[in-house]
Amino acid sequence: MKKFIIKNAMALVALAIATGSYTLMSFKPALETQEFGREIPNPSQPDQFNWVPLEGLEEGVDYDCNASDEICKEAFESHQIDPLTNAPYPNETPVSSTPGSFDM
Amino acid sequence: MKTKRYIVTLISIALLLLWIPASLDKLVYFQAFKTGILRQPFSDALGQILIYTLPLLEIIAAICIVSGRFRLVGFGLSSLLMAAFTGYIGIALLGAWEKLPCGCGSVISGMNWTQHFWFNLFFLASSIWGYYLQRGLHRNSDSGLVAVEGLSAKRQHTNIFTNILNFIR
Repeated sequence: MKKFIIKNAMALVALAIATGSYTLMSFKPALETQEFGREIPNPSQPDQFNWVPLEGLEEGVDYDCNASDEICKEAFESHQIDPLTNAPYPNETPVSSTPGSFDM
Repeated sequence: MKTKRYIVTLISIALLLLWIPASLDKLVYFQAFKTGILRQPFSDALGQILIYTLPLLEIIAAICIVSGRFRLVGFGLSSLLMAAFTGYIGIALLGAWEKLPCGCGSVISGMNWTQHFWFNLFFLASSIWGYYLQRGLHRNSDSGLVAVEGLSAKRQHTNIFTNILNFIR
């Protein structure tokens, strides 16, 4: 045993280094949870999200969005703001102004 | 001779402490390493080659250093790799590129470019020193073998000569 250890001392040192560094790496937070320096909320933590589903919102069914609806209002506003610059999107010209007309 | 062996062992352990975590980090966080390499200011074609060759060369260097027979090759490979890394950082520090993203592993991710340069320079010097010491040890062991062989050949020659003399008598 002692002879084996002396003969393979360098290999055992390498093995110890590999095991140690791998263990240390497992403590390192995964890079996938970070994006542009911001922590992405963890869905497993219930405090960070409100998972209460909307009434009348089901998969495959269009939600009837009214202008007075608080959620629709928020969604509409968030769609008008560029998330990268926090500036409103420039006004887009509508493709067709007259209902039923056909623009080329 | 004994001191040289101790120094070679210490340099070997230091290089193993460098190459093993560095290569493991690249393999475990391969996607992050790949992104880091592709963000560097060289062509994507070269980046694609480096993505696979760098971890492989680092593993080969570590295996060669562990093996007593190929330790000289390991020191040589370590010197070449460290020379390439140090040269690259040196060019970056001279201001060849406006902004250079760091694709550093977990071990040295906290360093800035100047600290990284000195760190690499230390390991480059260690690798070169280890190479020359190991080469000296190889030469000594080789010349030792020649001496033993020469002695036995001389003895053999003397024996043959004595046998011939005895035969004539």
